[in-house]
Amino acid sequence: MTGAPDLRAVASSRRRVYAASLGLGLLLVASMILAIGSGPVPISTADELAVLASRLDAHAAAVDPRLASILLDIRLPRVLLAAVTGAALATAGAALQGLFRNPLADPYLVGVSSGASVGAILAMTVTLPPALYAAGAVQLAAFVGAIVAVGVALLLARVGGRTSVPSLLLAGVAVTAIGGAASSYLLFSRGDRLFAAYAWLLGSFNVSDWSLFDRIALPVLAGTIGLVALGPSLDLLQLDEDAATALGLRTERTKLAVVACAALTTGAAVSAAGLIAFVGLVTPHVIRMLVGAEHRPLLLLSALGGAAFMVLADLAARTVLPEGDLPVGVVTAAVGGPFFLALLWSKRGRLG
Amino acid sequence: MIEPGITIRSASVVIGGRTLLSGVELQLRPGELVAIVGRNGAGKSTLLRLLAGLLRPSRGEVALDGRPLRAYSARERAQRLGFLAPSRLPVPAGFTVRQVVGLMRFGHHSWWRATGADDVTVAAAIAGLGLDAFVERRLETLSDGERQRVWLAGLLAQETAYVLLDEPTSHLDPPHAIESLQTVRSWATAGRGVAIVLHDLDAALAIADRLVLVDAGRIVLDEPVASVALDVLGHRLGVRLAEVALDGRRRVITQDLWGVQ
Repeated sequence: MTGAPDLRAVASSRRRVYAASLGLGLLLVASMILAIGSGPVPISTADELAVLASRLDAHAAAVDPRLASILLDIRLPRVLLAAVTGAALATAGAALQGLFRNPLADPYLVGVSSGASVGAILAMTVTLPPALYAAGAVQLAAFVGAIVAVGVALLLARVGGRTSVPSLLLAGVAVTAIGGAASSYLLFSRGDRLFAAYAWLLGSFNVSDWSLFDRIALPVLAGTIGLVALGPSLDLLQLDEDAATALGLRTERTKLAVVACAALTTGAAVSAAGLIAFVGLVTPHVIRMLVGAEHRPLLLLSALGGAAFMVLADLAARTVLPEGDLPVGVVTAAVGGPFFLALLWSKRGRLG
Repeated sequence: MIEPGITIRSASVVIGGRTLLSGVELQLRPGELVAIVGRNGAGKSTLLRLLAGLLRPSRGEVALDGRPLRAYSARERAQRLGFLAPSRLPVPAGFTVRQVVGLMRFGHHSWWRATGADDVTVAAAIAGLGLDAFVERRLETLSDGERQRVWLAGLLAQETAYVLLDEPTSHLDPPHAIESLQTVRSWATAGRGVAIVLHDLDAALAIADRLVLVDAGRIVLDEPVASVALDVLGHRLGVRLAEVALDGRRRVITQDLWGVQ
């Protein structure tokens, strides 16, 4: 060994992460500006900025109150809800792909989707007082259902104080199947609620106030910060558990923390927007191509990328058809499905 | 005064009613290379995992530098003691050489991330194993032999006083196996305490200071390599051993395959 160690590789990889962060950050801001401006009443970027400025600075020039109302009460909460949901699903997807060391893992893998469906459909099929629905009973039931399902999968996968990751995968599949049966039965027995339930399952951001955003922003933020903090621990879990333990990782705590944070973000996202497909599966793969497999940057940038993807998907969902909204899950699957096929094709040697 | 080293005192390991190790006494001191040999299932890997603190003894105690191993936090332990079973490690998909070597300093990281000092140590370890040209290569694109050097660079970067290796050469061609053993020997000579599970008896006797033979969950032999009796060793391992003198040094060969053709 001669002279000072060569740190150029460190610097160049850091530059790549910064460049990707900047690029994705700009993409997110641009898609939000575009989405806020688009709709039955187009709003120019200048007007958007003027409205925002009037909110932030009391001395700014007066703006058209009708534009301000559309922007602040309808478009902005919807766009922000889409962004937060996309960030939540993509981050949780990246984390679970890391935990299961499986590129096909998605945030719904450990039972979140079926738990949330059972909860939401149950709340829709039993007849509750209207006040409870107005207060968000369906969303709450979906969130509770998601957390309960993940809890059951975790309990099933724990043997002698240790959580076996392959068992967790299988337990998640089993819980998903049982939940699917329960959801189907509920839908079958209450055909009159079928359309509402089906629309919920496909996912949408059809909101007209801030209440949903207010409810999910905090859990999603907390879970995402937790997952980003767990990034290096997820890196170590790419080795076997003996090696990770020997390198100083408390593997049991790490696994539980990853599942808990992923369940929190996904549960919150699903409760607000239904089961939106493919964002959590596809986004991390794109980000990995940009910045590599290290989890700290991967998780952080998946949040940005997932947010941008979801904002654009929702924009397409509400503007493609003249007669009304498409379910956003249809758009994400229509874009994500072909992408995923291409991914399978390009990796066919390694996944087979 | 505490004696530096990893010490196992009358330890037994019982898992699920099966006794994997019983009444084991062993010491690994700084600057010494101990080779652990034995048949498949004899308990070599269990012994190594016991030394590494990955297993708790059902009875007895394991101490690291005079303090019970279980009293160390995971991080503290990882700063003093490196453990690796290279042939059993999965290849972390998508990770580069620099990232993997960096991972192995996890126990030294500050609360949030690796520091600049970690970057320097990692780069030096990569250079130390001649991997400069591979820094940004992904692990899955390397050969087994190159990947072995990455793991050894990781153990170097981990900067532990003790290194425990489980069959590090079992999947390597002879030149890479020899290169690995030379690296490990140089670590012991430089003052690290090294324990290594090996099947190659000739290699074990050539590089080790002490030979430990595990049979049916017990340590049945623990001696300086020069005084190991080959008939006892061969009997326990189920092979016929012969020694030859080569350049004035004792080399070991197995006789069982001669005459099978």
